[in-house]
Amino acid sequence: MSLKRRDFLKIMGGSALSFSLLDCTSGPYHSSLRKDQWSPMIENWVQSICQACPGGCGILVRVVDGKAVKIEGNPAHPVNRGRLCPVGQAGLQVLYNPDRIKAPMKKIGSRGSGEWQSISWEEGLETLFSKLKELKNSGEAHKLVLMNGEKRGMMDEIFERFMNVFGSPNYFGDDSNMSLIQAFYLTQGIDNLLAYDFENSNYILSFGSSFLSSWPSPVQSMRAYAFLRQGRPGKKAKIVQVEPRFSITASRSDSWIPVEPGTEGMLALGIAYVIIKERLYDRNFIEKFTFGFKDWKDKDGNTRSGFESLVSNRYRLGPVSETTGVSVDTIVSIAKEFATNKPSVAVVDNNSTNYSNGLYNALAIHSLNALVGSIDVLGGVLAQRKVPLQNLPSVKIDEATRKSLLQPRIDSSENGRFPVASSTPSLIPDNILKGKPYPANLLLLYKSNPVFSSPNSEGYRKAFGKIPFIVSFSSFMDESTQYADLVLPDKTYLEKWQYAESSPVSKISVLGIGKPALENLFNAKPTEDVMLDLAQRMGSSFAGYFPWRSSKDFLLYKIDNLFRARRGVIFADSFEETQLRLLEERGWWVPQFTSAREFKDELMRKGGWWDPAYGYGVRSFVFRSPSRRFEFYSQLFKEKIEKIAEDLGKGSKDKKEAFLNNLKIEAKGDDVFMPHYEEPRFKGDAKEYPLYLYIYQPLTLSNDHGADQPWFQEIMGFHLNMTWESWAEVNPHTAAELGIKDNDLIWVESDYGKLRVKAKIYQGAMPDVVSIPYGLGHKALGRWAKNRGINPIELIPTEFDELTGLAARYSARVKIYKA
Amino acid sequence: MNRSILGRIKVSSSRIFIFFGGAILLIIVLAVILGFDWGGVRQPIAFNHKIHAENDLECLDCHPYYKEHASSGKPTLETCLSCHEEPLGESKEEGKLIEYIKSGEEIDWERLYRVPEDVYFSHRMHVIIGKIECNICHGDIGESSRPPSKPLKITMNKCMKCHEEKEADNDCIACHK
Amino acid sequence: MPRWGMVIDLDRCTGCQACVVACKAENNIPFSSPKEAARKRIISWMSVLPMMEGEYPELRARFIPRPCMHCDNPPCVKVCPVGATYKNREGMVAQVYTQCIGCRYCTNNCPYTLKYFNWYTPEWPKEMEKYLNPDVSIRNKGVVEKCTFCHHRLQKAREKARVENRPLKADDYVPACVQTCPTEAIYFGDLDDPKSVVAQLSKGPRVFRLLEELGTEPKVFYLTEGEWHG
Repeated sequence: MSLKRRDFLKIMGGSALSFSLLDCTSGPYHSSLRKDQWSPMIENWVQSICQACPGGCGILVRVVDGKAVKIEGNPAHPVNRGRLCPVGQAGLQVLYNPDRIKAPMKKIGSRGSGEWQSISWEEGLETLFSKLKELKNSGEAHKLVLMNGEKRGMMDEIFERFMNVFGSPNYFGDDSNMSLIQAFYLTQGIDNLLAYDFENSNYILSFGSSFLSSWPSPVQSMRAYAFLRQGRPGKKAKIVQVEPRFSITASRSDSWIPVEPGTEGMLALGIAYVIIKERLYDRNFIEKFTFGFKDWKDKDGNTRSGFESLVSNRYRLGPVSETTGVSVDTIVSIAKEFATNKPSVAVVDNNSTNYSNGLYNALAIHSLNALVGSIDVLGGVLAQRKVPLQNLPSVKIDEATRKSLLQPRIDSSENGRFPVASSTPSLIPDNILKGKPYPANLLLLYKSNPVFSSPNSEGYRKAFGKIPFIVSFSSFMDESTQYADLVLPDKTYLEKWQYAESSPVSKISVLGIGKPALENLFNAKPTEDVMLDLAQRMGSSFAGYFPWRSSKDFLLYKIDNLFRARRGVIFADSFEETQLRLLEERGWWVPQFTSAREFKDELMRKGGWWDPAYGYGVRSFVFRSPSRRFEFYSQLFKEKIEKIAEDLGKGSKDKKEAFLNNLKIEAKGDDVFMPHYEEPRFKGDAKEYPLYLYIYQPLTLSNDHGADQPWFQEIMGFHLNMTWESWAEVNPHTAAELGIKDNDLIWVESDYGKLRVKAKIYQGAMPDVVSIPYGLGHKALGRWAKNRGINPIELIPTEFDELTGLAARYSARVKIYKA
Repeated sequence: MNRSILGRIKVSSSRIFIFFGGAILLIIVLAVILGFDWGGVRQPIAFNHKIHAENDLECLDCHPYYKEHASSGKPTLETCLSCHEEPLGESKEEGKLIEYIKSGEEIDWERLYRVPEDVYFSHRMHVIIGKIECNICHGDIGESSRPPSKPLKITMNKCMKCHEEKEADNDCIACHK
Repeated sequence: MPRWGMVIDLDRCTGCQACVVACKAENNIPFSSPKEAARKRIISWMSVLPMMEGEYPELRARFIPRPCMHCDNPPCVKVCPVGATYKNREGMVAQVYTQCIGCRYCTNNCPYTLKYFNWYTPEWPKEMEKYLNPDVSIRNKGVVEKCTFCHHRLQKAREKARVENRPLKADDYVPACVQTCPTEAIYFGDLDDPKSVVAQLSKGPRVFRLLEELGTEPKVFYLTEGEWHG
């Protein structure tokens, strides 16, 4: 007879039970979550800046015992004045996202297999360094390609310099604003987004612009909206939204004008027609500040037709109404209101440029501002002054580097395709696949996920296969990072030193300074510091151009200039507000500090600098075109096209012809260089695919992190009570005709593919338009994003605006039917 | 035949099990009834409050937060180090402290007092505004030469009674969070 | 004694839902899974109700952010068998989680459907447990919860004011939704203080309250121009 182990277990079990009961009685006060060790609950508010979008709002992070527990707006920051949008509020779900990449990793197994091995930072950095060194030493520096999806702030400056010293011309950013920027460039010579002075406007005519949702600086534009609505009694601005969908912005406007997709520019020209016919335009402005309105004589004495004749001849209201689907009465009344309720402003946004005729749409819409003289005036279109940050010391590059910098870029085209573009990233995948102009050897990805976001995602996937080594700095395992060989995870904006200027859509120039709210959460490193480290490894002459030991060092260097700028002020506490008002009104500059050091300390303490004054009437700043005027007839445009055509013409006449034909412009002669309407090209036979596909971005899904944040999954579709999945908005009459009921599963099919999704009957859908939100349908990006919903980009053909090379994301025709 | 023998052995083994098991259980139950200290808090060092108080240390010297924060705070190794860099005596407990100092490892003081998770309790509020002496809740802790293994019993009734006497807010959500 | 109340200006609101996220972050509100969401079991103390009127293309929309109405005559309190929900002297309708037995009478009796039952044990991935607000308790499965006007902020603000030996100022205490609202559409304060913004706005010509005819006397007021078609 003996006691068996089993018996022991029985007894142990019994007594263990009594122990645990005792345990309970001795400490009844705990919840399972807060059983943690004692912590003193000392709280600390860290001043930082939100980097979830380009707005650059100031934030205060509440840190309790080293844990970030809340984000609030910073009341001293002039962009958001203590307020914050949902995306800013949800930063904690980015910071503490369980699916963050927590340490450097190298790929084991085949590419895309998802098999990774954690490595040390030293190994990771040394691996990347050896690849860089190899390229540099073999004279192939130009084969380094860098894609940065958030080209702004400190990271952009460091990358730019690194690529320059390294000797690669292949540094690419996100091109989604290309058509807008080019429209401003061609008319005013300004190579950036322009600002809209909503607060002081009386009439906002918005063409699909999402200034109440995914705007580049949403808190600021929402604040402006509220001010117009209830902030200036007796002067309520009228807001008109022209858009193929009843969006959030449309729903908060005074009037919604549904317009046929891609015809926004035509509507603008119809409005211009009325303004011109009724002589409601600003004669003084037109005379003094524009070029090419009236017919004009060129230097050879030939009469050239101006914008006035073009519009009068080509945009009679009958055809405009027919094309746009907007009644003649409506066009007339909008035009009259727009021209007589000044200051008025016509706002253009990507939503009206995501077509093959995008550039012309933007030109047509923006020209309305010139017609009524709303440029460089209170309540009109303004241009932000850059913050006077210190320039980096100049770089003297050696002969070999110069040679590789002068290599053609990897996005270049042979026949001058996309002539009106500063860069043409859409050509990258094809070029890489063909090894043209040379093979890409090393790709660095920073906040760039083209495998998800590009309509040519298949192209990118294949192109990645051709690149021998890919490094991703992503904090998340997104679709593109899946194909990397090495991941060197970046920290989130809440853990880094950084600076952010206000978005160019904001009229005031603001510099916000961000301090890390917490450190060492995971084994990640700021990519800024990684690049500075690599520069040190590259050898002494390379390192000499990077004298900054850390990103903080770099930041301190950049702000060194502000003391001497003789303009602007450091952020103020609220009690200094009155003084600021004065500054804002009169544009004075008051010296407040005796030494640069004192100034810098105060700047770091208060968290930023801004210039409350806007200098009106500086012509050389607002009009940088050849004529120093707003050019209805764009000489820059003409020069660009003619130069390319001429260069090609030297080779052969056919080439020139082919080039011009490839632009697919129907207009002839001078009209080409003026705002006019080109019919948008849609893919898919109109009979077989009777509906247009409209893709929009809810505010909550407007950056890289939306779908991977459960807070957003719960609220992104609130207007239709949709959570955690995608939907397609269908007009009730259209749905009835097709026998589709609310919540039915349907197929949305284009020439390029089909996706199954829930149908939502929506009164705000035009009868011939189906709308699907963008941001879901990930194939990666963690537990909450992966395989949830659909990515409508998969239905998009590779159609471009042939002038700017911008992908025409709204150019698919579709049909829908019950699944 | 064989079967029955086996069966008998089995029966007797399980009887023995019941006997021993029952005896152990009985000991445990008795221990609980007699107040044997099973579930109490055992500090890594048997800290002597009395001797520290006698050497003119104030509560605030080791519990730095109670006048300014909700929490009172507990001494860090650095606090101890400011006096004990060299051993001041020969006690075994100080010897343990010296070991901690040598290794640089923080002393993991066990928490004795906890308010329920859904209660907001602020030392600052009670000490500065309520002018409550430490001993009202913590007893004569300063007189103790060994750390207590159990907190004094504080119930909601006790809180509320005191609040009533002091005319402090007795609304549920004045304390429950 | 203050009487806390809220005024929400629907003419300013753009339906961005910053208030919703701020509330979830501040108050340790567990997020749903897709399955739970499909059963309409999302907890959201603050939620924005879209109100769409008309037919294509003549549409009108309004967004109505809805926290607990903190009724002066709260229907939920009347049916609570254990006194877990009650109205305090400052007009806040409080919910004492440890007292709640989860019978859900109050949830059913709230005409605004703004009380939420915890169908599930709240859970966060281990990393996310770090962002939980130590000032707010974590409610258990089987307990009813709702907007508290962030009363934990009042606890702290009051303490701070008393330590500094001064009365509570208007800015000292606002709920998380009020603090974040980009359009400054939400106001908060003492309805009984004639000088407070909420007292003045709540008597203005644009005011209405939800389901006013029920006599619940909500302390959340809405402002809108034109006629209200609730």
